[in-house]
Amino acid sequence: MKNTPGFLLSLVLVLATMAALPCRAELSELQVKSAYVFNFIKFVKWPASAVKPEGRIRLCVIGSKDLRASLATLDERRVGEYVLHVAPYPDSTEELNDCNVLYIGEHEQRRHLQIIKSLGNAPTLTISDIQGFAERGGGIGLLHRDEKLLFEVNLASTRKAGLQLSGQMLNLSANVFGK
Amino acid sequence: MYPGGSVKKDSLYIAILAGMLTATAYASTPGVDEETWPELSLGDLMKVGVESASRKSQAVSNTAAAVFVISASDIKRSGALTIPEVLHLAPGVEVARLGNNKFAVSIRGFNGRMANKLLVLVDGRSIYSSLYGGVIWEAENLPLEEINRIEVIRGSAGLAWGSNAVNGVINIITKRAQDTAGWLVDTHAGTETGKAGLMLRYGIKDEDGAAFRVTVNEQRRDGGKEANGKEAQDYWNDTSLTFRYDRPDGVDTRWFFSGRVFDSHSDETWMIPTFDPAAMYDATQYGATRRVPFVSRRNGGDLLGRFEQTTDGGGEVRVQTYFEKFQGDVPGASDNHTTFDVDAQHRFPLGESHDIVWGGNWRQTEHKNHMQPGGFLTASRPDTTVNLTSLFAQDELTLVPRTFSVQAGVRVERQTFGGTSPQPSVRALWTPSEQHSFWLSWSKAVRSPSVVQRTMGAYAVAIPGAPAVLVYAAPPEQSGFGNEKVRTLELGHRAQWTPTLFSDLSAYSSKYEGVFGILSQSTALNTVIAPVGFGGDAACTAALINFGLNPAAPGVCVTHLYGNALPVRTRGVELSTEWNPLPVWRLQLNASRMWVDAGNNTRYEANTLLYSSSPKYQGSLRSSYNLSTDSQFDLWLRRIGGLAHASDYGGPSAMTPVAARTELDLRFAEQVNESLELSLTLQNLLSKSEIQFHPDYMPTQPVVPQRTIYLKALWHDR
Repeated sequence: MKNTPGFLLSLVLVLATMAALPCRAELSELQVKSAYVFNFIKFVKWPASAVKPEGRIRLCVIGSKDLRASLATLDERRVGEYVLHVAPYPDSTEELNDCNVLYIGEHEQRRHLQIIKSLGNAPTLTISDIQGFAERGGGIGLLHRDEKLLFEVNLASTRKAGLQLSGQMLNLSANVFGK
Repeated sequence: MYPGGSVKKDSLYIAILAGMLTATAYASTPGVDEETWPELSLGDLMKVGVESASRKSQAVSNTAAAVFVISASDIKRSGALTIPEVLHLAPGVEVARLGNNKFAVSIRGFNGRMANKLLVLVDGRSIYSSLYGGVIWEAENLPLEEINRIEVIRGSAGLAWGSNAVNGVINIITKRAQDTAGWLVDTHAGTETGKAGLMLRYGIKDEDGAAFRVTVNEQRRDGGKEANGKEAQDYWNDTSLTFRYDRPDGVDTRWFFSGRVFDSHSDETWMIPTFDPAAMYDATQYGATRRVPFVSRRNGGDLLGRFEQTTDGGGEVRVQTYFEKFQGDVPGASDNHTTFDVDAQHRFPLGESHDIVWGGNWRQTEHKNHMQPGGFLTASRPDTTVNLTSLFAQDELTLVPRTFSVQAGVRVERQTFGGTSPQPSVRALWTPSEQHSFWLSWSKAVRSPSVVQRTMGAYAVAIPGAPAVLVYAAPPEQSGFGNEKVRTLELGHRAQWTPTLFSDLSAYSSKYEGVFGILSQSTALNTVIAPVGFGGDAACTAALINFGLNPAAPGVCVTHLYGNALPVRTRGVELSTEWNPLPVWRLQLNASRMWVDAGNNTRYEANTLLYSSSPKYQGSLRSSYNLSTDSQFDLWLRRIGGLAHASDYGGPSAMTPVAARTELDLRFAEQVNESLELSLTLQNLLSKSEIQFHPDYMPTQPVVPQRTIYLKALWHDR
C-alpha cells in the first residue's frame, strides 16, 4: 500500500495533537458511580428501627473493589441526615443483611439475583450497574444511555425493604418499575 | 461519487480535520471540578458524559470464553450503516464486502457470502438460513439505533447456543422499550451506501413500567462499480416496521413481545455459465459466462414473545417462542419458508457452589423452494421440512469463591439431516484478582447440513478465465452428507492493568472433521469428467435437460460426490485492548492472526476455497475523542490481510487476486442542542477500487466498494 506512510504520519500528528491538549477535569466513571451512590442516600429514608435519624449508614460494596476504594474516600462524611460509613469488604454473604446500602458490582453478576432474594425484607437499598438490575427486583439500577449514566428504580422492591424514596428522585429516574 | 484519492488528497483531509479538531478542543468548556464531585446533584450527574464500559464489565468478570461486546455508543460512533460493518468492531470477525448490498461475514475462517459456521441471533431469534446455511444479510436491516448491544462470542459455543455455533455466535440485543420513550428521527443523506435513510420511532411508557415502541425505517444504498470500472448493479433499498413491548409484572415476572415486517430489494449480476455458443458472453473477462442482471426481492416478518421469571431461590426461568415467514428469490429459484421455534431454560443455584442451567429447544422450518428450468441450481427435493430438537444441561461449580470455577455441560441435538449429536463443553475460569482472569476451555460443536447441501441436484459454476462448468451432484443425497464437527481448545487472559487500560488475549486451536467437500479420488463415484460435450455421461445429460440446456453444447460437466470430505485445522490468536489516555479519549486496538491447514488436496471447490476465504491477519485502531462535551471526533483505521490466491492451491489462475487493504473511516459529530445531533461520516477513504472477496457458490459479480460520505441528523424529543 503506497500511501500508508504518508497517511500514518498524518495519523500520528493528529493523535499527538490530541495528547498534547490540556487535560480537562472530567469525572471518571468510578467517580460518577460513587457520586450517584452518595447522592441516593440523601433521597432515601430508612425505617427508624434500622437506622436512627442522624445515624450511620452502613454501605457495603461487593463485586467491585475499585468502586469500594473510590467510595471509601467518602467514609464518615455527612450525607443528608445521615453519616456515611463504608464497611470493609465483606468476607461472606451472611454479613450482607446488616448493610443499609448494598452495591453489587459486575463481578457478582452470577449471584446477584440470589443475593437480592436472600435479603428478603431487610431494610437494604440495593444498587447495581448490572444490566436489567432494577427490572429484576433490584432497588436502583445504573444504566448507560447515550454516553450518559442514568438510573432507574424499582419501587416495589424498595417498598418491600421499608425504604421511602423522595419524589424528587423518582422524577429524575429514567424508569420507575413497580409503582 | 466521492473524488478519486491520492496520497496528497488523503493527507489533506487529515490535516484539515486535525485543524478543526485542535480549534474545537481549545474552545471547549471546562469540565467538572474534581474536588467537589461528591456534592454534584443527581441532575448534574445525569449530564456527565460517561463512555459505556460494557466491554470491560461483561468480559472481565464471569466468562470463560472469548467475548467482545459492541455497545450502542460504539455502533453510533463507528459511523457504520449496516450490521456487517458494525461487526468489524470486534476482533477476529472477518467482514468483506462483495458490493454495496452483499457481505461475507465469519469468525475464525471459512468466510463466504453464506459463511455457515457462524450463528447469528436477534433477541434470541436465529437468522441462520437452514436453506443455504449462513445469514442472508440483505434481509437483515434492523435499524442500528434499535440495538442495545451486540455480543460477539468467538469459538465453539454449541452447548449454550446449539448447532451452527461452530466458530462463534453473534448475539444482537435490541433496546428495551423503556429506554426508547418519545419521538426519535434518524435521517441521513449522502453518496453510495449512505445515499438516504429515514427512521422514525415513537415510544410510550406507562405508570407500571411497561413500555411500547414502534419504528419505521427506510434505507437506500446506491450501486458501486465493478472491478473494470463499469457501473455495478448493486443498489439496496429496504423498508421495515418493527415494534417492541416490554411489560414487567410484579417484582419477579417480565414479558417481552416484538415483531417486524420488512420488504427489501437489491440488484446484482450473476455470471451464469452459458452452454450455448450463440449466447452473448465476454470470454476474455469472465470465461464462457453470460451476465444475468436481476433484482432480488425479499420480504417477510416475524413475531416473538418471551416470558422471564425470577424464582424465590434467585434462579430464573425463561420461555421464548417465535414465528417467522420469509420469501426471497434468486435467478431460477426462490426461498419460501416459515419457522416456528420454542425455547425454554431454567437457571438456578444449587447449594453454595453450584449454578445449574438446563433447557430445551424445538424448531421447525418448512421450506417451499421453487426451482425453474434455466436457473443456476436444481434441487432433488424442493419442499423440505427441517426439524431441530435439543436438550442441554450445564453446571458451573465454584471451587474457590470468586477465584476459581469450572463449568461443564452437554447439549444433545437432533436435526433432520444431521441426526443426533452431542455437543459437550468444559470450561475453567481462574480469577486471582478482580483485575485479572485466565480461562481455558474445550468444546465440541456441530454444523448441521443445509437443505441445499443435502438436496442439491446440479448447479452451474462460472470461474473467470475458465470454461463453463456444470457441476452435477450425483446421485443427489447418496453421499449422505452429515454433520460437520469441530473440537476447539481455547485459552485466554483478560486484564484491567490500570483503571484506564484493559486487554483481552485469546488463543485457539480447532480441529474440524468432515467439512463439506468433494469426497476423495479413490471413491468410485467421485468425479466423471466429460470434456467434449455432455453426451458421454447420462447423468450430466439429464442435469442439462433439467436446466433447459442443450445437452450437446460444449463445456465441462463434473459429476461430484459430496460428503464430509475434509479434515481442517485452524489456529490463531486474537488481541483486543482499550486505553483511555484521557477521560475524553478512548483508543481501541484489535489484532488477530490465523493459520489454516486444510491439507494438500488440490481440487477446486474444496480446500482451495478454505485457504482463500479468510485473511491471515487483521488489525484495527479506533480513536474516539470528545472534543468538547458537545462534539466528537472518531477515527477508525483497519488493515486486512490479502486472501491467498486460489491458484496457489490448484484453483483457477485467472481469478483476480485479493490484495491486503487499509481502510479508514472518519466521523465528526456535533450536539447542536439537547435534542439534535449532526454528524458527518466519511467511509472507506483509502479505497483503491479493488475487490474484497470472491463469490462462493452463488456466482455473483463482485463489486468494488466506493468511498462514502454522508451527513446524518439524529433528533429526539427528550
